[in-house]
Amino acid sequence: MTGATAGREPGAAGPWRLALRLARRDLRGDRRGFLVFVACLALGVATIAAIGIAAGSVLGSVARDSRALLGGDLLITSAGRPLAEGELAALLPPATRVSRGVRTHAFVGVGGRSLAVALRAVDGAWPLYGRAELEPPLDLRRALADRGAVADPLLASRLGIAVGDRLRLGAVELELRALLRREPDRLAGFMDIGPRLLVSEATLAASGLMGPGAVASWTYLLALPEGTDAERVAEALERRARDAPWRLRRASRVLPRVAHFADPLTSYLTVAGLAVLLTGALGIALAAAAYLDGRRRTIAILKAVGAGRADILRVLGLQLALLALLGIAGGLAIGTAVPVAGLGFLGELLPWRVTPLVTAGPLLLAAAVGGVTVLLCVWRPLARAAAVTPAVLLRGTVAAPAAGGWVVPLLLALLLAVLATLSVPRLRIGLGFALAVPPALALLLLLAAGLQRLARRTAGLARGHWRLALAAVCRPGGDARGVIVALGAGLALLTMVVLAEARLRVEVADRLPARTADMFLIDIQPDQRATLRRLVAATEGAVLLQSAPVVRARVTGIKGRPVEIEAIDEEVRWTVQADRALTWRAAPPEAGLVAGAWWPEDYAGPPLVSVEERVAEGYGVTVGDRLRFNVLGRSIEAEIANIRPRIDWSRGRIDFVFVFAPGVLERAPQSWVAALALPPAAEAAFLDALARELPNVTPVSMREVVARAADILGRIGLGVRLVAGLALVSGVLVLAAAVTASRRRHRYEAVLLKTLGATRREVLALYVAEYALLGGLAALAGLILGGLGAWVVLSAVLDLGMVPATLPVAAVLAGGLGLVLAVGMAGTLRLLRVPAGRILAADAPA
Amino acid sequence: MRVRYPMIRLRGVELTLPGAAGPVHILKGIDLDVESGEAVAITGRSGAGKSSLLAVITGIERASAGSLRVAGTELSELDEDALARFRRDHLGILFQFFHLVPTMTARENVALPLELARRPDALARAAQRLAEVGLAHRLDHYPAQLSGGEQQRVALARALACEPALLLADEPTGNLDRETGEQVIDLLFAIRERRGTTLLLVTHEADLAARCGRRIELQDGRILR
Repeated sequence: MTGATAGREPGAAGPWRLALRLARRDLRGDRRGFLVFVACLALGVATIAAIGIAAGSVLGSVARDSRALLGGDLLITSAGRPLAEGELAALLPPATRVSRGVRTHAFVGVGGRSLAVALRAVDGAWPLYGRAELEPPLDLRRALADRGAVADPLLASRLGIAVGDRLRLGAVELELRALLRREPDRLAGFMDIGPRLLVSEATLAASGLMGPGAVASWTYLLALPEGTDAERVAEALERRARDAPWRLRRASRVLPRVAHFADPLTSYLTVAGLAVLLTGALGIALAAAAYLDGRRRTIAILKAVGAGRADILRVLGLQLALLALLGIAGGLAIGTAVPVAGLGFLGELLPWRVTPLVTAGPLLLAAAVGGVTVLLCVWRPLARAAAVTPAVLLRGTVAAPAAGGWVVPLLLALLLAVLATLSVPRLRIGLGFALAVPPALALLLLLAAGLQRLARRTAGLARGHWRLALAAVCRPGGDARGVIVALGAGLALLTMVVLAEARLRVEVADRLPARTADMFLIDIQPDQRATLRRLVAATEGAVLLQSAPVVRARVTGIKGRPVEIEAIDEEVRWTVQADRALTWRAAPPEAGLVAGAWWPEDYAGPPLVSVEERVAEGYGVTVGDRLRFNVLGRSIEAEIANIRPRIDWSRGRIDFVFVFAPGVLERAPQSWVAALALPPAAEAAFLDALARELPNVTPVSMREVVARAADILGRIGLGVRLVAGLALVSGVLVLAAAVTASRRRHRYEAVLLKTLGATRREVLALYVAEYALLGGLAALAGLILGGLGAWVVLSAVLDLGMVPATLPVAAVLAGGLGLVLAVGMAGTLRLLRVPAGRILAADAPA
Repeated sequence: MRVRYPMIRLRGVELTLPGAAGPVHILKGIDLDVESGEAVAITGRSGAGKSSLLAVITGIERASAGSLRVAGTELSELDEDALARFRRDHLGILFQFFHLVPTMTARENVALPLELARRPDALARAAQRLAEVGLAHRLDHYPAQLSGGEQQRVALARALACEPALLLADEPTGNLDRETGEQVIDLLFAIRERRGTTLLLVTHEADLAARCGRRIELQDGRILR
């Protein structure tokens, strides 16, 4: 029994030891073919591992620092008024440490210039967790004492001031004592408008900004005594204060909220990483097939001298396993090192400190995906290699043996799809990818076959080099199809990303400002509206486009029952997770209604509310159902009178999810918002006038918002482009595998042509034509599939439509073509130097 | 009563292989007996089926019909792995193009069948076999570093490594110059005589065929005489 211990003499090697010995000897040969195998695998595994480690580090840092990020175990925010003395103490466990603070918007001025800032006043206990990093590194209390201030470096650069300079805040003059390099609980105010200015409570009180009508939030950061169950305290607080005018946030909920925003991006990047691996899979398969085909004679010799199928499978399996281990280990090493080194880049994007967190989870997943991919790629070539008959030694050429069935490869593909889906944080995106790959691959194969068929038909019409090149590209059994598919996949992914990015850029940079206001003003007090109208009228080119009253409130009940977050659709949960802006209006909306009827202009009955369609669907409510709101401590139950069409927030108009009928909210504490058209030239003068006459009103410049969005989009785009670019690198590796595999054919052809009288230049021209054709076909396949993919994502999924991006797409395709030529020619040029003699006799391709 | 079989007994052996223009009938009803210790030459023109007959007897190619008993084993009853084990335990094969594994040294090539047979000290035994064919000084050379004659001597050492009862050689001098070819053949016959190995030799050289005790001529897949 071959391969087992039967018949084995004492002291002889066992089957695996023997296989290892033979595998090691066999690997002494040409190792260049392995390079592509290992590189393709390492690249794919590294990309998936790197994305996993980076995402794990970001979320892990949040999990580790969640108390510092929130500022306490719990955070209570009271909008509009501070909590009464003792109101809080009665609700908390003894020995709870409390840090009180105020957040508001204000203007600061230096000389004639003014700037809207996110003002924060803190007490001596702040921060309860974490540390505020100042530059120079002063003690925070000293920095804020005696009218001292600490500011975001952005504030200093915008106003052109430095540490030691003075700036005006309301009635007081401040000294900028230090720059705020890191605010531990910045995440809690991530969406603040304007740069941060930190002062003491005493300074804020002296500024006079907290007079009647001031719009501010009072924050109470709580550090519970060691060993206290924060969740139980939070639940007790929420039970006792269901209708209180304040809101509670828990440190334990920071991570899910961050994950809510981070997961889609991680998912798309992981999908791109999987695409890199799948593109590389073709390289792995080609390299493995080329390697195993090259081993046919050795396998035949082994079988002729007595090796069984199991012996052959053990030897080849060990070799491939060794290479796979090398590729996976290399990929994991790179995939760990790159995010650890590159977290600085992420740190600039995020408002919290990200420290590298290398966990086994993402590494194991990347290794498993890589391992299954290798198995899938080598299964059939391995089966084919093991079936090689020794008859090849007697008759030179023997028909290629059958490669075995499809059952195992199909099961492996299914396992890969499951692993791929599991590696993506958002199940829906992972599933979408797993379902999209088979049709995309089928389409790419069809495209490649179609283009090859077209090339074959054209071959008769072409002359000289082009005819030979066309024949080479359509040669049955050649690698051209694999190369077109792999490079086509890489180019398609890159084309798709370029097209999607071009569309999003248009959305952010061109269309948004073109159809929206230039500036929004918030926190306008009712008695300030006349002053605002006067200021607008006095500014040349300024137009007041819209204005509306705003009352802050929280949804507390749906259809007569308290809000249950899990019962609400994920997409609209944001509407119940924080205070929302409500308004009231007598006039019906221009866009009409989806259901119900608008109230009469002079309506004066029980509370009625109008709800946006998406939110109504997400809540599962319709006309006639009731919603309960907590309006600054007062509970209001309103009947849904009608449903309005979905709001297109990208239009940048002032709009509200909930609109009340007149007669309910008018007496509640309120402010107004306004939208202005404001020419860029008039902006500075208008802002100065605003800071002088309405210092509590906060301006939000759409130009800045657009610039910030474009900046974030640019950074995310760079990341996505990088990952998509790796798919192209994978494609090039596949090409390298094909070039290596066809080296023997090319060498023989080159020598034959030279023997028949072709000059080196003519042979060179033939290969340039062949690779140009191959690159052209891959580019065409990539363009068609990438265009189609972009259309599906942009039109069908995001409902945006396409924009032409001729130049970037042309650059991608030309780059792809250039790469094919460069890699192909680099591998072929050496062949021209080979002398003819021996090769013609011994190197005729099988 | 125990029946004594010859080393090779073929009855009605046929070989048909698929070809581009339909099935090709290569061997057409071969009957052949070769006694133990005999040296038999198989001759014939190119395409007569000599190598195919060798392939069938070694189990490298499966006969389409007929019965093949070699070294006491009915080959038609064996699967692919059993055939490989049969070759390992009973046969030595010498090819025209040597067919050494290029990534293995001379010693490792010779040790290969010994290792597959799980023999201890395979490398030491391989060194002995190489010494027998006069290559004690070439143990750690790779095939590419050896001359054609040396490569064929390594192949001979490998074929005889497990001391097979039957040695089959397919045009063993076909790829060597005359002088080198004669040296290899002298060596082959010397070892065969010393060990009493049965030899089946495919050749188209009359001189070489004449050194064997019996000669069989094949023509168009049939034994002519």
